[in-house]
Amino acid sequence: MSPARARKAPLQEVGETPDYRFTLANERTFLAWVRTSLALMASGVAVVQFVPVLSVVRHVLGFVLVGLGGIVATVAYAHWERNERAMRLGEQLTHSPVPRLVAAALALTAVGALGMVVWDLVR
Amino acid sequence: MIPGDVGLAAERTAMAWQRTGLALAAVSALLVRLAHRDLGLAVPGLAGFVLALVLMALGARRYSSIVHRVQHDESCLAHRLVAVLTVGTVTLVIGSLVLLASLH
Repeated sequence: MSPARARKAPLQEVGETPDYRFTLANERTFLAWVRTSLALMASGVAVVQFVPVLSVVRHVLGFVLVGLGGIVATVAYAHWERNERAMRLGEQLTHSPVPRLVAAALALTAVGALGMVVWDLVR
Repeated sequence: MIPGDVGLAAERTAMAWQRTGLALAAVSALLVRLAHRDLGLAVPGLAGFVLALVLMALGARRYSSIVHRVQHDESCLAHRLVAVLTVGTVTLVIGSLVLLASLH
């Protein structure tokens, strides 16, 4: 969040209007991230309901997943705004580590939940 | 600009809004189900439902809005729509956390 940027000016008035296809692609990317956030919320709720372990573990996992969903939604907006601003100013779109981090967190959680379910079945 | 191109991009975008509205409705249904008939706890889910309906309606309008604006060489930026969805989703997350916390 660089203070040098003109945060006061509405996004619509920054730089030049880019090719509409880029603006729309950026918007669809944002929407895809929001759907990911919603899926994280649903999985957090599901873990609390269904994964057969100690109540504490279930709740912590559920809270983490739902919280991650909230973070993803916020980051999605930040990226959307940053990308549109970069396109309007003719700058490079910056790469983000967030998609990889989210994928890693999801994979870990899925493996953990699967492990708990299998362990519960086997014992 | 090739005529007809706008319609395709506009269609994809409007459909993306509808997919998102559907996903939101599904999660809201889950939250309402979880509330187990407690009206207070059902508020997040019900609010999510309302937001989902609003989004689906606005998404339908997005198509014609995009086509109109591009044809008139105007920006089709939907800042308010995006901001509303962000605020709504984060609010739903907070509501879900409260709901989860109040479940035994």
